[in-house]
Amino acid sequence: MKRSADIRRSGWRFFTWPVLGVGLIWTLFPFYWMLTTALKPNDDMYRPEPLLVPVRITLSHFHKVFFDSHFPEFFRNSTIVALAVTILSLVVGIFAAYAIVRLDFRGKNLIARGLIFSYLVPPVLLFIPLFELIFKVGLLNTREGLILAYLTFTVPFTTWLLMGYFRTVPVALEEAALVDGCTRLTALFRIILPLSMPAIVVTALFSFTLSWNEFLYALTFTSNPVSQTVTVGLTSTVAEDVFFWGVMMAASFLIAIPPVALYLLGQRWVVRGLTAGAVKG
Amino acid sequence: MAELAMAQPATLHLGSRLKRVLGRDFALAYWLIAPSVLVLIGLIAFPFVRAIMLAFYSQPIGGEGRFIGLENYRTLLHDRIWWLSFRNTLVYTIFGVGFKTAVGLVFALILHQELRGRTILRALLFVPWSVPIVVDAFVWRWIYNDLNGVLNYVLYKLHLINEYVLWTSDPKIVLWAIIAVVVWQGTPFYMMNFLAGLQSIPDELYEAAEIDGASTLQSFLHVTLPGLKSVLIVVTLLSTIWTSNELQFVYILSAGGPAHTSEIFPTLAFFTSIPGRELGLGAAVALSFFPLLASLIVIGGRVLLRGAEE
Repeated sequence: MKRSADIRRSGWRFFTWPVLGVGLIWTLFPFYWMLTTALKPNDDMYRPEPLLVPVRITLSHFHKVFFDSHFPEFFRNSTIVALAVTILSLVVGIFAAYAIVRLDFRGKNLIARGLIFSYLVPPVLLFIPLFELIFKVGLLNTREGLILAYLTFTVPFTTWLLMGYFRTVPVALEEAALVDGCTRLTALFRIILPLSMPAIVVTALFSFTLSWNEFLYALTFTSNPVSQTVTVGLTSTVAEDVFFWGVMMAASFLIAIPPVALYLLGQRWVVRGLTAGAVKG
Repeated sequence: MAELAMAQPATLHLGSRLKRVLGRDFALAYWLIAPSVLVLIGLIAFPFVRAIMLAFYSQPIGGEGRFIGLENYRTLLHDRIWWLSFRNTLVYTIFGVGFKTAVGLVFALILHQELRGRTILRALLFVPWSVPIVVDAFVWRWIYNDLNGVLNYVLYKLHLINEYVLWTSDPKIVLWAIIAVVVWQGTPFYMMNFLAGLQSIPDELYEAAEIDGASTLQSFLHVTLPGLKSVLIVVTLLSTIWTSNELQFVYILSAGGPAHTSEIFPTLAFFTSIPGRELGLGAAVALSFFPLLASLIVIGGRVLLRGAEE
């Protein structure tokens, strides 16, 4: 083991740290700039020579985000939509995945295929007909409309990911329960689900962050703060103020917190889900 | 009594016949699968078919639709902006995916070594991808700002430029400035997948290569690359679908401007259908690359299905 690690290391060693250094600056500087902009007073921000290190710190931009903008509403909408989508797609996905993996019925391969192909259909192909649909059923400018639309990307991958995991749960465990008189459904809830907690956590995490980060549907289906989410809310803030960058960066920082926190918490599992082809990139 | 007794075997018989045709567990299975089928058909398949139909209609928002055959496509083929978007979408996708693959591979190789603080480095390098794209794009719009942007200032101070560059309003530069952000945001996804691919290559192969006297370059070409082949194919394939259909970077950094020099099909489809209120024409724009996209989806789906079966 040690030897092979040395082999892998030898040729790359020279430029490892210089490349990593450049990569880290390139990766992280924009976030440093976001945070320092959010904390700088306007006088220090709009000057010919930008201050690379802030000399004065202010919380006025954050104050404005919290108390003098629509962001509290945007945050509420995003939270409600993302939570509802996560729960709904988990319920739908768990039932479908269980049926496809464990039950014998006609058409199951068709559904499994349908799931994977629909997962690959990009929102750009769907947003126009979905706009028509949501317009016709009167759900434009509602959170319900967004929730419906978001299910189009969360349900396929939730089901897909859970199918993969359910397959790894030994059938013997379930058969024993069935022999003991459990029904299929109690076996699902008592045996499969407790054993599948890691997969359920990952899918919930992905559903939540994908819904939180979604932009095109929110841009198309909502046009006022009653139903707008944080992502479109951010774009609608631009027009309001000439010197808006402090507020923009403060809001951006706050918007980024939930997905980044969830990612750091679930990092271990996220990597596994990623490599299972679960998430778009 | 007699009738009931007769009815029992008859229903059983029907039940077992249904079971033979529909599968042993069809009754429970169809209940469990119903909600997801509803989503698949009602919210994906039906809208998908509707999008293809819409492209043959003149359909203003809230108005009567009128079948016009290939008129939308004829309009687009005579439209300079459509051709500009065609070119831009190709450049945007090819260079976006190309650079993401190259840079992602370099960082995966670097992180694959035994390094101090590798876990932390990996987490840090992953941040751009976990942040919402809208946020990434706005941060860069501020960095690219003509007058107060930090990029111009730093490059000027380092004497790398003689005058401030209009990153998002110079027609010659804007698309490349956007591609840089696309690469910055998407590289972590490639890096993570490549890293997982590298970790699945057995150490013995490197040892054998060394015993055979292979140089670092040779073992890279003959061990690493072949070992990464399947991951490379899956990642670039799927990413091509998603990169070519992502509108947020262009929408936020330049809104397709100036004068459509950074317009791509996704933004053009949005501007045509929603603010422009022409759903039919918008659908035709969204479907511009459909034959190519459909084949990528079919190939990608097959690859994922095969991966699941293994």
